[in-house]
Amino acid sequence: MRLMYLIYAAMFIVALSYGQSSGYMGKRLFFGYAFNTCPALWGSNANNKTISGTEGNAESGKIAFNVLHEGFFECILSSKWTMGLNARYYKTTYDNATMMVETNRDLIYNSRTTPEGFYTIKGLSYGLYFKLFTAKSVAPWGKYIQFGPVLNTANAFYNPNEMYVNAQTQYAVNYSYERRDTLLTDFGSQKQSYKGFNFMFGFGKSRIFYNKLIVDYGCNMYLLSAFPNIALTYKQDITTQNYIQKTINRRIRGINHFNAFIKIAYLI
Amino acid sequence: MIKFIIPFVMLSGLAISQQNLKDNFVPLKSSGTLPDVFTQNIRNVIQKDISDLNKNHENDKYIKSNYLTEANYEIEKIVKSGNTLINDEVTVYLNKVADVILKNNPTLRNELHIYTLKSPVVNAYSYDKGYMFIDIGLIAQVETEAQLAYILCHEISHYTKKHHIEGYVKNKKLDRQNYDRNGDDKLIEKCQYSKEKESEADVEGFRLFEQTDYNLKQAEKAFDVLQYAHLPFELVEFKKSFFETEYLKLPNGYFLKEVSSIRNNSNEDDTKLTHPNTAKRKQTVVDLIANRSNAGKVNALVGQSQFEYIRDLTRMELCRLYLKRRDYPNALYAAYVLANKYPNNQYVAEVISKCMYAISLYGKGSIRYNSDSYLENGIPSHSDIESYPQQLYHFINKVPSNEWTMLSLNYVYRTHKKFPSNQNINAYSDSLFKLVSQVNWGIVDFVRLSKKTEVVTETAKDTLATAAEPASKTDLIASIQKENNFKSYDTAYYKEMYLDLFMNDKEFIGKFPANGSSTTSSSSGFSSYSTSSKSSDSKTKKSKKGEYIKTEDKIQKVLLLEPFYLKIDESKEEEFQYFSSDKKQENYIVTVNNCAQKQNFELVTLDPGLVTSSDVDKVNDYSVINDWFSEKFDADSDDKNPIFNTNEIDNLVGKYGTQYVFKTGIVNYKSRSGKKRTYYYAFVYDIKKNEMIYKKFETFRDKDSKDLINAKVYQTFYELKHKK
Repeated sequence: MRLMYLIYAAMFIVALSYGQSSGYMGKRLFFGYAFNTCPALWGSNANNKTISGTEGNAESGKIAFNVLHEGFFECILSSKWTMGLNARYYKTTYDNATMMVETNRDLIYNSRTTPEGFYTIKGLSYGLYFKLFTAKSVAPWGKYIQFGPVLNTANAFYNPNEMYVNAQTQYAVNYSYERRDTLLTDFGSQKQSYKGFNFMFGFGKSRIFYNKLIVDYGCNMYLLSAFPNIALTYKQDITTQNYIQKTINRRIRGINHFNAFIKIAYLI
Repeated sequence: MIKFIIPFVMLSGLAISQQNLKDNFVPLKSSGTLPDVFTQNIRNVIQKDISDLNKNHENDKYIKSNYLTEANYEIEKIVKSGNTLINDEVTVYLNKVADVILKNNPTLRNELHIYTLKSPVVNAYSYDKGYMFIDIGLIAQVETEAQLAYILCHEISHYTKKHHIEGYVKNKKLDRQNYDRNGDDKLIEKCQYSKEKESEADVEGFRLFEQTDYNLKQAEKAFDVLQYAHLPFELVEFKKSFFETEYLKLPNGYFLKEVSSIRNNSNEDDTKLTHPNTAKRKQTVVDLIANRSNAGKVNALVGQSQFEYIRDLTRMELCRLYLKRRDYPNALYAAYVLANKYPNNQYVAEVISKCMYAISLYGKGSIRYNSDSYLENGIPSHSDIESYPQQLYHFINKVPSNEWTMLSLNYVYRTHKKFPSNQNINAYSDSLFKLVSQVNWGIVDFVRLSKKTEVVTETAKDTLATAAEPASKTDLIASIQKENNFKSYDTAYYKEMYLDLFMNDKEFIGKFPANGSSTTSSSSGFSSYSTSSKSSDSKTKKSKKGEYIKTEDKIQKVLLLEPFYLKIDESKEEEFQYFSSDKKQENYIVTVNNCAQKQNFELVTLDPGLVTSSDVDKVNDYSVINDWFSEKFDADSDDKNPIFNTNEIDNLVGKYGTQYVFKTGIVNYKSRSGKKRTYYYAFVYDIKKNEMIYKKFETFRDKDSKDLINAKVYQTFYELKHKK
């Protein structure tokens, strides 16, 4: 039933758009593919590489970029406004170099250790966005700003053989303490799902070729990702059980907070 | 027999019947078959010219090929501007004069294409392609056919001596080589070269002229015509009696006791002029005449009466051209001169009516000028004018605005009575009644008696009482009639100017406002088209982007007037990209039509660049609308200045089925540093209501890409259709 309401709402908006917009040579709908990318400066990309290199597990690569693939559908509401729906898919890794797991904690001995390896994230963002074209532009041609809410979903995967913690755990033995090497591989379920909201803002410029093909380029950012989350500082209680939960948002933010894009769309 | 009949029939078909100037004048129009320049592909013509140039192994090929490009485009632009007359009476006459001059040189004669240009300027010019353009203003000024012939000889010499192309080459070389020299040096050198060529054309022109049977002395006189070209075509005293009637005697104070003399600057410093001063030129010709026999030479070979007729045609047309640039005093003076010769000419009377009405509006502030106007500072002071016209300028500037309105009504209404079938004069008369109703005068003002009344009777006292307390309109009329019976006089000269009309003319009485004093507001509060200078319709939407649309009418059909496209590239030696502009313009026309078609928008294109040889009517229609816009654009675009130069708009609206004229264009500019700008404009005017209903002017820091143009043009039609 909800789906029907959504369809009705979409039909209403499209009908409305036909009454108010000139479109491009009368065409008011388009769909296409967008290629988003941002440099993997510190956070590692899908191949666990970064441009800068880290002290952790990610490999250093001169050309290391995050890649996000996007499909979208957009309708022109007026000469200045368009509205679109998109889905953005990405795959990345979390290089464990920058977060430490608290492996032992008591009054005498407190130990934090960085896990070896990395875990993989596959994310899918769903966005509803609006484009506002500049005064001299006519949607969908010209310069614009865009904004809209985003639902981020992500699944994290890890391989216990690759991701583990070599910890020293302190035990009380005969009124003395003894530290033993312990291999920690349990970071919770091997597939973990997370969701979160964000707000996209961006700008771009679109050109139209052969009266049908839209080439759109610009950049976008997820505003809530652009600011560091104070809750995720180094001094929080991170254990192997909540390690992914506590760190995944950092990586999702890293890949979403700023991207350049180029879109190819077909006007119908 | 048929051999004789067919040419006769053809000739009679081509013959243009003469106008009866005693009664009326119809503005000059093109007729017959359009010349090749309208239909040929200019790019092919230029390529052929350049190919010929290369075959001839001439020097400076690059510059000359640029010249050929520019000259061909310039000629095309002039011929298709709507200002060039084709096969009209004047052009036919000019060609007859050229036939006489070159009767022994048919080859040269066939190379010449002589046209009349609807311009009030006193000038003539020729191109190396054999095209010659003679301004209406020049023909109106010449005194004899022989003078005109000498001027044609001068222009023919420019052509035969290839002065135009040589001057172009010289200037280009100077521009290239002398970058270290200051601008004045370069200008002086260019002018010096030009003067040499002009002197050569004077001499060569005279040699051609002396081969004819024209009076040689007229060549000398031709320079007097040029010397005094800034003065009207004829100098006659402007008499105040022109506006006076039995009941209107204008005060002497409005008129100068004497007018200024004419300055003689024939020997002016010509260092920075392209032509030698007239004293030098005249002396050259005088020296040439000195040893020649003038026996048997005459002033007219085509015909004296025909010359005078043609000249009067151009003088009549000149009035219209003055109106086109809103030069009402000059139009009024020209019409005044013509009215002395043709007192019953309806056209002349209409021109005077238009001028009187226009000056009334000017006095009320409803007609305004700006820095782009021909009269940028408005109507000049009489001190800026020489000789007899000074009297008219003094009169215009001296008479207070309200009085001028009353005088105008007096003249225009009486003209309307003289030509009752003339709807235009009737309309101006009605508009003046409206103007009168807006000033502080009404019938009541024409029944006041002065204290100097010679015979005051009881009845007259009653009249005074009536005047003090506004009564009904019929009572007021009755009081005037009584006033007349008792021969009472008022000190103000204008009090009695309508007396006979109030006495005898029911139409006048019916239209004249009853009591202006008690009912009027300020004179700036005009509401009608005729009196309102600013478009202030409450239904007009205006956005920050300077775009607005009147929303009361649904627009479905427009007349597209010659879409425009220009590419300028400062980084190249030849900044104007003629070929590229030409091709882009062709594509632009297609784009505009496509966008209109996609929205089921009916578009009628009126473009002299898209006509066949039989489309002379379209060229004439284009000319009329172009003239309408010329006059319109002399004022601010938002002003609702009435258009006086043409009466044909209603006919065109009926003919094309729309009153909306769409003007659009694109200018693409690239600076030396590579910065790109694209300017897009689109205007729609309601030529019937005389108002702009849509305006879009946008600048893009971008190249003129196809998608930009598509998007903007489509949007324009969408907004027009959906009244957005």
